Amino acid sequence: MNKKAALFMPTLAIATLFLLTYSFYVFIIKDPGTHYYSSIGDNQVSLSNTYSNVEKDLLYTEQVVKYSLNKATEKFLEHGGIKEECIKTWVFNDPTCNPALEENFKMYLAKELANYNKELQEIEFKGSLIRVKLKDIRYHDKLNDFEYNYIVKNEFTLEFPLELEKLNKVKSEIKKCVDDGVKLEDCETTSNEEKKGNLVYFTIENNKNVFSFIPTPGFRKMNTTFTVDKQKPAQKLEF
Amino acid sequence: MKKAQEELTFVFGLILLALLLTLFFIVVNIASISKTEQRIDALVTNEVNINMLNYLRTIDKKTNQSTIDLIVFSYHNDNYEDLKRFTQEFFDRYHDKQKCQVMQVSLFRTSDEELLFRLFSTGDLVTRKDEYLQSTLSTLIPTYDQDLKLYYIEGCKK
Repeated sequence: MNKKAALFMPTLAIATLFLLTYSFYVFIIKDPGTHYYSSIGDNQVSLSNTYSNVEKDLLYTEQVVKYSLNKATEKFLEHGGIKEECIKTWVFNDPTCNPALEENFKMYLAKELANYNKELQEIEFKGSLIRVKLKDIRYHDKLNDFEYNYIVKNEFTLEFPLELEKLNKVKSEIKKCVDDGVKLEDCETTSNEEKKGNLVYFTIENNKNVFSFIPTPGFRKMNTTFTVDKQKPAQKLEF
Repeated sequence: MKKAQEELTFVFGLILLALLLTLFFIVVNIASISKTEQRIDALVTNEVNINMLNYLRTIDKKTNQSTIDLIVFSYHNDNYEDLKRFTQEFFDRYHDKQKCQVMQVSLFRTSDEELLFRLFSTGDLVTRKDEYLQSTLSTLIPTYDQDLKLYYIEGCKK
């Protein structure tokens, strides 16, 4: 073996050893991040999870609004379209017992929504539908290099289980009789009237199904009955 | 002298062979890592979440109610027959028994965590544990008096 051939193998071995050592230093010691597992797509997964949670929350809230509408309608009809303390007696222009039907319904609905920890912001009556707006929900997350705010509008348009137009029509007819000085027992309205003692009771059928627990849980059509009081001071001032 | 030189060359030759073998194994190792299929289980869970929401929003033609309303109606009447029938129909329609070992729906009362309703459908797939992903999702369902908790489980091949 000549001298050059004898030097070749040791030189090659030392050079290879040097390259491997250097590679080990560069890829393993100097930049260990490339060696270990790192989770990918955290931001995307977080967004995706938020979207799923939003969908679940929206379904929950929609149901809450639906059931609150039902319960509010039931209470509203049960109390003759006015506040509970008025004992089904309408008193026009009275600060408490005035049959401001839309306002009274909103009050009942707000109470029912509060039982589910929901805050009513506004409602809009749209014929047989009702638009209910609750407080918007904000979803927020902050990751290492990623932050987002996702604001979801809590607004629902649902079937309105109350025939408010029918009630408003009867209200106008009664108001006209009162304004014209017509006796309530002689007042012609689209409701059923019944005289009990000195009082005339008006009964209106709500032709939409309302969920009620009485007598058994189920959907049924409900009536509302009320009377009109002309003896209160507020009425004497007006008529 | 010549013999010593030959032995030295032989030793360095062995070292070189060892280094080359090391290099070979590193290359093979890197190649096998790059072939590994990446899966994101979180997105699979989201897919199941969509399935659960679809289940809850589906309308039962017989009662003309959505599943979520049917659940509430069943709860208040303490009668889960319609819910059982409808859920069974849902399983029959959507449960891929070749792919999924189990699909399950359970309903609990939140006040005392009492089980109100449970129905499951089993498939015939036998698979290794690491090929199988069980996704258990839950959601709250409001009623007229308290919330119910629904668990929706899909155990399917990844």
